[in-house]
Amino acid sequence: MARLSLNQRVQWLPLALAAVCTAALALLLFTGVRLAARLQSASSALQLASGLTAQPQLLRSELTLIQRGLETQTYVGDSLRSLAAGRTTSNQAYARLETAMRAAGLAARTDAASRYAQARTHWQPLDDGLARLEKTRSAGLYADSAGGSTLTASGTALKRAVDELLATQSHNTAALAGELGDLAALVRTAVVRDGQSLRTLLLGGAGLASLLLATMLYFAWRAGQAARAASEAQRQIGNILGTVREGLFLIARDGRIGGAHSDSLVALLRAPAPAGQTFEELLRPLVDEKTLLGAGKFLGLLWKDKVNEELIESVNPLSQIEVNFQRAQGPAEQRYLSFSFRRARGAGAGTDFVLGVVADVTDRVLLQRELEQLRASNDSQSSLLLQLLQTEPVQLQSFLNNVEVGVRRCNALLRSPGIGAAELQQKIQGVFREMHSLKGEAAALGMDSFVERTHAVEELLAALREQAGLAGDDFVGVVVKLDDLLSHQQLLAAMQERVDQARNAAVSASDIPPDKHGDTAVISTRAAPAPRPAGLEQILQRLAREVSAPGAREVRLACEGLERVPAEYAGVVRDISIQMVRNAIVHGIEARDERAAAGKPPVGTIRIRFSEASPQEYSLLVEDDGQGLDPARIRDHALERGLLDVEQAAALNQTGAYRMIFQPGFSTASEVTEHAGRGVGLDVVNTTVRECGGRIGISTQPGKYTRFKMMLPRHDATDPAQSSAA
Amino acid sequence: MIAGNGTAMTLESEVGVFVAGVLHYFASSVQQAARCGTPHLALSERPEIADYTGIIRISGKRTGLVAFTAPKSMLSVMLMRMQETDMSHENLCDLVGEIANTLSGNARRDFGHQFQISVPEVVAGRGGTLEYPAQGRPIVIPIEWRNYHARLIVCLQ
Repeated sequence: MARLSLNQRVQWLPLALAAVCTAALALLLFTGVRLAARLQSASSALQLASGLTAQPQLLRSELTLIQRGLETQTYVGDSLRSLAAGRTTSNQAYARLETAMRAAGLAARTDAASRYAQARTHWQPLDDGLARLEKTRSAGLYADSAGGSTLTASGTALKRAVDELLATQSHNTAALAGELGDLAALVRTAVVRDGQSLRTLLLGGAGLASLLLATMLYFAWRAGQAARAASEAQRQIGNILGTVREGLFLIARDGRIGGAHSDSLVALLRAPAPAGQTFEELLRPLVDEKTLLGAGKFLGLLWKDKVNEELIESVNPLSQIEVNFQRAQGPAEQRYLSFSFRRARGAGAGTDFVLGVVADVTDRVLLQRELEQLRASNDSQSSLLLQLLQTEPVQLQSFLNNVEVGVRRCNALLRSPGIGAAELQQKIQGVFREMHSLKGEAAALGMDSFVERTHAVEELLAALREQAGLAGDDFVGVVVKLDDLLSHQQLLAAMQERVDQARNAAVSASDIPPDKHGDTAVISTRAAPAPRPAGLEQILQRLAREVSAPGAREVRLACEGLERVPAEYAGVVRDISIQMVRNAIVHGIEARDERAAAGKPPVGTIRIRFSEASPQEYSLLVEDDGQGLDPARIRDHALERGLLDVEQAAALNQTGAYRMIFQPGFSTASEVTEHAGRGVGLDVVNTTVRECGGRIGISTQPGKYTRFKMMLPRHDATDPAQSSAA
Repeated sequence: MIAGNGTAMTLESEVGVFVAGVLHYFASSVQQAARCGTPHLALSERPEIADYTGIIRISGKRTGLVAFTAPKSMLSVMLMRMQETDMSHENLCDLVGEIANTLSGNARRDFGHQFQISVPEVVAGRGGTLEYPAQGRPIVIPIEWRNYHARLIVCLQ
């Protein structure tokens, strides 16, 4: 059972007092009315009793007048009528007295009832005697004679009856008067007593009325106070709602928004006052259908009192939404709003309203984004610095130069005129080759940030290659990514310059004798001298480790003669070797299990040999002991990729099949990875060799080996004919 | 009011908005579609401008400019296509300014309040260069219409 609080008790006390006073006053008034009625009856009884007290004497006087009239033979008719009237009046008075006594409660009192009964007892014989007299006619009482008037027989009878009545009722009349006198005294006492009671009652009523009035005044005072407090609270709430920056509003169970809300709500939502609108109607212009649906479900959960509102806060779909407010002129205004909801409980146990709070969190969101970008940039720069420090400086410098050249070559391709379908496809292939070549070199150097970027360009180009109705503007993404790649290259170049400066400074300092410079000795031991430029073999070894790492294959790389590559072919041999090693690992060398099943050593071997094949040519041989080339498989893949139609595939001989693997877009890899799947690697090799005026030879045996032999012309070679002539 | 999609626009999509704006102008106002050449970067030199150039400058999330530059001959033919007989210098300036204004409108519509876009300005005279942001690398998008060549230059950083 709910117990009333002290405050509630204080509020209810005057009300209870007023109710008690009113009830008591009503009771008093009721009692007073009854007492007044009794007093009225008692007064009437007193008046009647007093009147009756004189009645016997009046009747006796009338009887005496009749007696004397009869004796003197005078007219007695008036007295007889007066006597009859007196009797009637007396009888009526007795009846009324009895009624009045009963109404005044005197009938219940023994003494008064006894007096009344005795008075009636004494009245009864007199009443009977008077009744008899009434039967006597007043005429014919006298007879005239010579000797004067004499009583007639009826006159004589009347006189006898009057004499007898006077004689017999003399004592009775006196007693009757006495009884009535006593009765009157008793009634008077009762009247006085009732009067006093009524006075007391009236005084009590006046007291109660005063108390009631005081209570009412107290109530009025309290009501005034409450009204003033409510008015003040209303004013304060108005101030809060007008000042607070958040949009505050209440949602009722039917989804409607209450009339009271903060002024900011209108400004935040750029909408008229939402009073009477449903929350859904308010929200609809701000969010999409999915969010609207989610918000409805979330509010539904809030109405369920068993659901913990703290726990469901995390699923609030409106915790942060982006909205665009259209303006009459200029761009739409983009803001971020955050809605939060709390249950609002009234006096009852259940939820009466849901309090909605909406705030503009645009500044916070933008600041947060800036911080995240800054953090990402810092992380990225740390990672780049690590890449720089791990890469041999000369290799890095060479690579960065190659990136710049590669991007410029791509840009030149894109800049070249021609927007026909074939020309656009050629541009795609050209940029693809450049990117693939750079990606290979980046992977070999472990420059992941470049691998990611070049791979991203390849992804874009791959999508364009398959796109129907290709147009120039489809290349916007490619250009933007090339721009990013170049920016990245410039960033790394700038970083490398600083690192080099720091290294040089450290090396210079190490030349100073340690005994003169204290800490310099420590610096000189920590700052290692710039490492000797790593050779192509080291790059290829690293590439082999990188490419084979994700798979279940293991590779041993055997290099020969790479240190004898002349400067004019350094870049070419590097590019070709990188692509060929990558190609051999991805497509040639089998997984350990397969090799074991085929009776091969578990570690695959790739041999690279550079040599002077003749006075006119260099030879670059790349051989792996992998699965070899399978013409049937090549044909199937060419068919699948649409590089051949069915007839062409059927006519494809072994040499043709081997030639297919150099086609742009050809790959037998089942999925695209950073290292394979685009069908660009051998295209790069083919293009590079041809650009040098060289040629490629292939020999293979399925399940045994694949050997590529690239013949590159020697530019320092003398014409044999000229030599012989000399 | 339009609900935001919550994704920030990339430079690629921003450039795409301007390219689409120019192509749409040709398709709707000139009623003859233009074609877009393959975009490229202005690496070594600042891109030269043609006879008339309409420019809008952008600040806010990115800083830079967008310019549409076209030869007088091309703009004259465009005016003819638009039933205009007055080929005066002022009208040619107005046309290139209107194209820049269209680009400005598209940018306002698609980029929201993160970009502040200037009132379009017109430069008349061939061979000059524009003031680009220090770190920006202009992207040049060739616009081919009939046998004429215009360029859209976008440089945002």
